[in-house]
Amino acid sequence: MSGQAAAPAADMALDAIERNRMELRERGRRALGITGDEDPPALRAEVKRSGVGWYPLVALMSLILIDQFQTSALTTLSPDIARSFGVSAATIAALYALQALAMSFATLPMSAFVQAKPRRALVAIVTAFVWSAATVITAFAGGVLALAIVVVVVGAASGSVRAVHLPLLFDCYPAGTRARTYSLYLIALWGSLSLAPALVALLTLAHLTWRGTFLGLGVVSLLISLIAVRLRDPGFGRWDTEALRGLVGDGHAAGEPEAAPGAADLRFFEIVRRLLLIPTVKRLLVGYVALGVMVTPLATFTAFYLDDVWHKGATARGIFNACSYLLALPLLLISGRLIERWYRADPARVARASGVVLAVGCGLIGVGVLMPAFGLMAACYALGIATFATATAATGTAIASIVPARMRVHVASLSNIALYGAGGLAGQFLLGSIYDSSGPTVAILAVTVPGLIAGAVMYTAGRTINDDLDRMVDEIVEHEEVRQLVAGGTPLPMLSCRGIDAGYDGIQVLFDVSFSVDEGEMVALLGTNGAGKSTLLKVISGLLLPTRGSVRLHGEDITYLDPQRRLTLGIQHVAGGHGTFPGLTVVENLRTYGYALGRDKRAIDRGIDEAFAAFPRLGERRNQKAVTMSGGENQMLALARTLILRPRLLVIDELSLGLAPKVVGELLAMVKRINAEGTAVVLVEQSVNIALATVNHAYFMEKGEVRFDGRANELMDRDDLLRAVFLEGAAKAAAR
Amino acid sequence: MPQRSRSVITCIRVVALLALVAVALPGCGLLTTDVNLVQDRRVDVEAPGKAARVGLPVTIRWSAHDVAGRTFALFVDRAPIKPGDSFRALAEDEHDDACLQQRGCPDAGWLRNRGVYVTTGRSLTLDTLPDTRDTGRGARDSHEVTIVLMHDGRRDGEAAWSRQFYVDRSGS
Repeated sequence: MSGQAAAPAADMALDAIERNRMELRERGRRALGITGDEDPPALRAEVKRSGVGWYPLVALMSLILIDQFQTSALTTLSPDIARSFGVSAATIAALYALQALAMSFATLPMSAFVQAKPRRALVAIVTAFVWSAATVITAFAGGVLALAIVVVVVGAASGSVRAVHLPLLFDCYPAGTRARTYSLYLIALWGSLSLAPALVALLTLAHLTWRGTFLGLGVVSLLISLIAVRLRDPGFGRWDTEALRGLVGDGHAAGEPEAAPGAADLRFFEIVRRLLLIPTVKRLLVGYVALGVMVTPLATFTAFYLDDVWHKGATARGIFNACSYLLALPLLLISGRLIERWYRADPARVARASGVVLAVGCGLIGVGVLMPAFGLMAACYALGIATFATATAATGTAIASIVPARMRVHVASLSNIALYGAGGLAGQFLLGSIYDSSGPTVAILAVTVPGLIAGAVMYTAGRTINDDLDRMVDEIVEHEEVRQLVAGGTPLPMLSCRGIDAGYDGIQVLFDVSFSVDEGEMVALLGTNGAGKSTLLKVISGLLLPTRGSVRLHGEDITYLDPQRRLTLGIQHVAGGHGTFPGLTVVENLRTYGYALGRDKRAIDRGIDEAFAAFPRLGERRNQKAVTMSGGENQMLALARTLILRPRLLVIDELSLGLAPKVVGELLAMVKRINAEGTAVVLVEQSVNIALATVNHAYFMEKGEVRFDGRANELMDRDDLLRAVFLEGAAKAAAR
Repeated sequence: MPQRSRSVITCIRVVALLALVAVALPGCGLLTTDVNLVQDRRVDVEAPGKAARVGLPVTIRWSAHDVAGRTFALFVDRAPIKPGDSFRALAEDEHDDACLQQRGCPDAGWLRNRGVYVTTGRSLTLDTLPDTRDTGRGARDSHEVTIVLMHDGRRDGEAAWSRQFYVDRSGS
């Protein structure tokens, strides 16, 4: 077979990738700004050297500065709005919740919109104008319905801030400056938390009604939005993905545009699912949920706490909040440089620091509310809030550093949903009752508990962040290496699994498994029970996603593709013993598979005729339900699908399990015929004799690792490996 | 098509959409141009003071100018009626069919039972107020009175004046 001739060259090329991995990882980390020292070059010099200038940062800071205007005005002026419209405060609170929901979940479609094309800057600018215009329109709202529409529009537009700003900022500036530029950006965010209510107060003092205030804010917002109109998207991964690609081969890849999305490019939910497999992302998202449980009710409880315990009116409370946020500004300036230093030395320190800082912040707030003097309380509280800003800078830097550039919008969306959507809502529901029953002091002390949990969870991200960073480097480097191999004309295996780790519910089953199949080849996958054979097949067909490693079909990365998309690419999985729909008849079963590929009826009918010709017994039972047929007949039916789907790769799990030898013989004959017609086959088989008599190439697995990869007749001589299988088979036979 | 041209077209589409929305919203009655951008200062609540701590009975006092032909409606611890609405809207909100079927309903008694007082004067004394304290919370007994103008039995515009105060029950 042609594939077999190419196999040694392909394997050698892929093995060379493995050998280079450690060296490339090290160079990759340096390219990402992790140099091991703690002495980052001056930010001004770095920005100048990059040639980017300050404009993107200033533009994004301008946009985040006005992001809070509408929300802040709605919060502050809600009693006036309620009185004007003659509605209750609860109605306005519902609007506020509606806006928060829109803000949380609008990030998902935003991410989907920008994932294929780098149009984050466009989204950022357009949405800024939308929410500015909506703020103006608020002034002319004729009633609560109009207000509801406006707040949803503002919330959805404002969601873009959370989805695209951080990824855009990361792609604008070199990797070694990100913690500092992000901290500067956060200064604008926290500054806006002070500026927005101050501006609202100023406009109110100028005797404007709530409508006049919204109009004024909207106009200011529109004017500030103009600062950002020249913002342009620099493309995905200019400073990281491209730098890593540049490490491979002759280095010419850097600067070349990435290929347009292909058939195997991940779609939105595939990316989301893939991100949720990254341990650090998972930990930080759990941390964000816990943080959200704390942050959202904290603002409400603090207002009541100041009112009830310290008898502070609305103005005093506003000043208190503004001062708390203002203290964050110098702290962010200092911590930006600190986070950069930690990141350069060891990213784990950033993750751990975020946990510690968060815990310290919670502690300060907890101690603060127990203070007997207002000044001491205010100092502790403000310092606590300010440390949260630092934690935000650290976690943002950590989570965005370990995912490829194209996926940062998705991780930003997930973070937003975790923090404000899941955590925020849970906080309101769970902790609202504590306030009602125990008062504001106890309620604030209670909300520090989820904050401490968030800190602890984020601290543990320090254990995984380096591995995840290496994984990202490996993936990008391997992707580029394979791209260059393909471009150079090196033949690659039809299917190539490299360094696969996979398992179920945290229990690892596969350990660094590498496995390849050439075009038209028939391969046997043997091993003891529980060795991981079926798990590997599931990884190949997409029924299980690996936690590490890659699966490639003709060089295209399909590791995280959904099973149905792999089916369209030509991978078919015949599951052992249950590969049919029991409630459907034979014909219905076959027709269903055809429809899975959207084939036309005539082609499906032709396939069904072929299936009945190959398996006459199926033809005799064409209208019989699968559940009423024998195991052998069901296995025939499962195999008959192949004649309709015409896969490029067929993976068969336990073909002969529990079947009579005569039936097994018929099935094997069909498998050979399918293979002879050009379909590559991976056969997982209990019977070593059957398997090795059928194939030339065999793998042997034990305890989740590949112990043998070679010619089938060579495996026959490996008593040390096969003994376990034979003994297992003998034991089963004796038991029967 | 060049990237720049596509961006321009996208921007034009967004602006066109916004313009359409801007035209459609007033058309649907969702927006209004009859708005007050500057605070209406015809009424000034004089007593109790802002966030004052008062005993019962408490007198609400206000001054007013340019309010000829109008009456004052005071809403205590509740939202006022919508602009343009009559008090009948309160009975409709409560689905009080018995009241709605009566001529002259809702009357002063019906309104008073719901914390609504109508007067042409400049003050109103409230002898009792419900205790809003939640003993578990230790919160203060907070109240809010909102004054709106009524003209021909309907709320006149969306201007409203309010005052929050606290009742000190330590002496009771």
